[in-house]
Amino acid sequence: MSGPFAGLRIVDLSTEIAGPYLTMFLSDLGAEVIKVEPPEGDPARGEPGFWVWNRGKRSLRLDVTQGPGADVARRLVEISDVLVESYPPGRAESLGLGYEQLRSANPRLIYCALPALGSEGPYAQWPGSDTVAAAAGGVIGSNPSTAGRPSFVTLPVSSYSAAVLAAQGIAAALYVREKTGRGQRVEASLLAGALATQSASFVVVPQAGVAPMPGTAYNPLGNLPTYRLFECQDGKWLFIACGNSAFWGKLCIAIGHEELVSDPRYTNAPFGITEEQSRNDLAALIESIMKQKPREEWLRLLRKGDVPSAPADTVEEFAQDPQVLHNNMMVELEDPRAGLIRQMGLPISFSLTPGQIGGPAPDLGQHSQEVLGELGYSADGIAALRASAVI
Amino acid sequence: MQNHALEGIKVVDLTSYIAGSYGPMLLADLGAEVVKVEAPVGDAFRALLGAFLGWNRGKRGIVVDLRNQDGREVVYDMVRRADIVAENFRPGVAQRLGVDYETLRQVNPRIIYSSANGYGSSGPYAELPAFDPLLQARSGAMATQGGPGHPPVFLTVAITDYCTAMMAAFAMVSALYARERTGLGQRVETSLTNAAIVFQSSSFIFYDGKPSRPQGGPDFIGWGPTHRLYATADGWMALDADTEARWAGLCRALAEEDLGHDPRFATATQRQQNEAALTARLEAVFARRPTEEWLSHLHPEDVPCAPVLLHLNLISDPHYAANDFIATHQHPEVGEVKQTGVLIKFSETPGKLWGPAPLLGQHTVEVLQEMDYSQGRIQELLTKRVIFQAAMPVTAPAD
Repeated sequence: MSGPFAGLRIVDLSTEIAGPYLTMFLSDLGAEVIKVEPPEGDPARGEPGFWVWNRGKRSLRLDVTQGPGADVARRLVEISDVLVESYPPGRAESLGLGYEQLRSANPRLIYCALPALGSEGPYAQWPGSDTVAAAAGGVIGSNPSTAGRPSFVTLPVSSYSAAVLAAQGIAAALYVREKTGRGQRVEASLLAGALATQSASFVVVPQAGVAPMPGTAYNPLGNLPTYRLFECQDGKWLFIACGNSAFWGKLCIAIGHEELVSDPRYTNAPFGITEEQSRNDLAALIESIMKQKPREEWLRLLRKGDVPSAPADTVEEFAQDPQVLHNNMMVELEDPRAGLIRQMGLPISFSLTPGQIGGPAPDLGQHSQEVLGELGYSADGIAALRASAVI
Repeated sequence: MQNHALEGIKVVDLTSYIAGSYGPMLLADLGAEVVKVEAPVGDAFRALLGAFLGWNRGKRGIVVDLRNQDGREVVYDMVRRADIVAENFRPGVAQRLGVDYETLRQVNPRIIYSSANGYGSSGPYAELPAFDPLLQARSGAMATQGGPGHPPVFLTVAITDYCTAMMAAFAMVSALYARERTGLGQRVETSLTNAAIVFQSSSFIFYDGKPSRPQGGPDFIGWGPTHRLYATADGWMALDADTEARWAGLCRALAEEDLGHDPRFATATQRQQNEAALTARLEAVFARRPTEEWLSHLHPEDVPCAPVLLHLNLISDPHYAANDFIATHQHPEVGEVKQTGVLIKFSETPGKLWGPAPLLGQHTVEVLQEMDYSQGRIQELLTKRVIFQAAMPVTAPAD
């Protein structure tokens, strides 16, 4: 067995990010994935992410809004283990591809839905996107700015998060199926993805134990003087993460100011500092110290002093990081159209059932002929579907 | 009869902080019996009161001193009866405490062992301390949010911690499924380093002719006039309307007659070229009415948009209640706690809310009694300070 999901077939009707990323994880871990695309293709084609999210899959170009197209999809689902879709709630049912409509022909089917905001409730029918989930899910609201308003987050964390949650859900449903012989419907919305990343910030308790410190203005570099970004002499940035008194002591030594450890203003820095003025003073002091040497020198000194720290690099620089390379997280895939693509490797290692990237992302409809042949369609049948633009 | 997806699955949870703790919590939410094993000093992040509840909901908690061989035997007894062990120790620590995979697979060959660490279990940085912001920084996430030529920005969402935990949960359940098919346990591993890439997958890709990567900026407000935040009369709204179809819908919804005919804004390229003018126009329009009213015009035209909600809104929001996204727990010290509910929905084997996060050592005696430890033996272990029952954290030398 190569990968825990070897031998499973997944029909992927989803588009954009979350659904395709989910089935990429499953493909990397051995599943066969048939990507069913609308006639105009997945709208994410043309985005760089498409090449990684859709690696290892075959593509069937299919118009499921036409009766014969929905029939093809149903026949495919009948012989598959998992179906993934990201339609607005109700859409799959209107196409005859809802869970209740498919389950009798395949009681073992695991049906995974990734609606934007969940399938229940007053917002369920809102037109959805990652941005919508981030706004409705508190991701944007919890990201401040110096302008006294929320700040837009560049990464589509709700979609990525939903993909990983859905993967867990499908794995759990497969595990249950081994015991019961039955499938079921699993749902992981983009909103659920947003909430997963808010798990700690969303907690409401009577004493409001995690309220922000009073009188602290937001600093995009970090609000705590020993747990934040600093600029060095050469204009490069690093992050120092000293979050307890042990690390605070090491920091003082590493920056050549051991006397600060016994300074009563900064006892048990950073959380133990009670005065806002002291916090600001310490931040300003460390800022000026960090500007005295170039970043590489500071990183060397801090590392030697066991002070948690890291450079603030670009993604391009991270791609050359020796640990990233050691973890095989940068792999090369040869793609017939794009040439050599360097992209993310396998993020989880399995000692017994390791994964393997199945190949490059497919062209739109690259495998339509092949898949329909496997389904038992004759050459004439396939030609007829092509003639009426079903495939 | 399977009521919950992971019913009957037992997890020995040796994790702490976030990237470790949240993974087993997700398994508890699916019905697994998770016991969090803490050292006498307890999980360092108990200091973050409310947040700890968000990373450890649904678990029981025991305290065992693993530096003592009797303590290790307690954990070995648990492992014998368990399906999964989860840990996020720095490399070398699990071995030193006698709870590494090689040792535990001798105790239970079917055990699934999950490691979630900062960098991986080997390699140039494996010995370094790892915290979420260090990987946010190193991986380029902070530089991307801040934008080229501007200072990096520290993201308030701990993306690498949460991604690591979610991947570990996925890995553990996948290994459970594989074990049903093979009969064999195995070790699964992931890291904050790998998670930082998973949450930047579309940036972390390189090929000839790749379009330049969109990046943020200071106090980032959005990508352009049709994909950003706008102030309304009573709050903030996110608009996501870049495509031609959505732009047409936006123009109809706003009923600003000239907007749809203005040649400066006719295509996406032109809208970007004339973004200052378009932004100013839309800012003026949206500021006139409340968010709710804009949603009522934009949604029927299929234009994605949403209010920027804050956590305090979400707790009482009917949409959240309808989707069971809110859970209420009674915590013995803190009182009523509201937090996120079970996030993954199952039609046949739904999740389970066991209860709030445990107090330190809250269930030590209970768990040992379940393993048929005698009262005498339990008392002996308590007296020798090998185990602790609901004790205050003891100041012991750090590992």
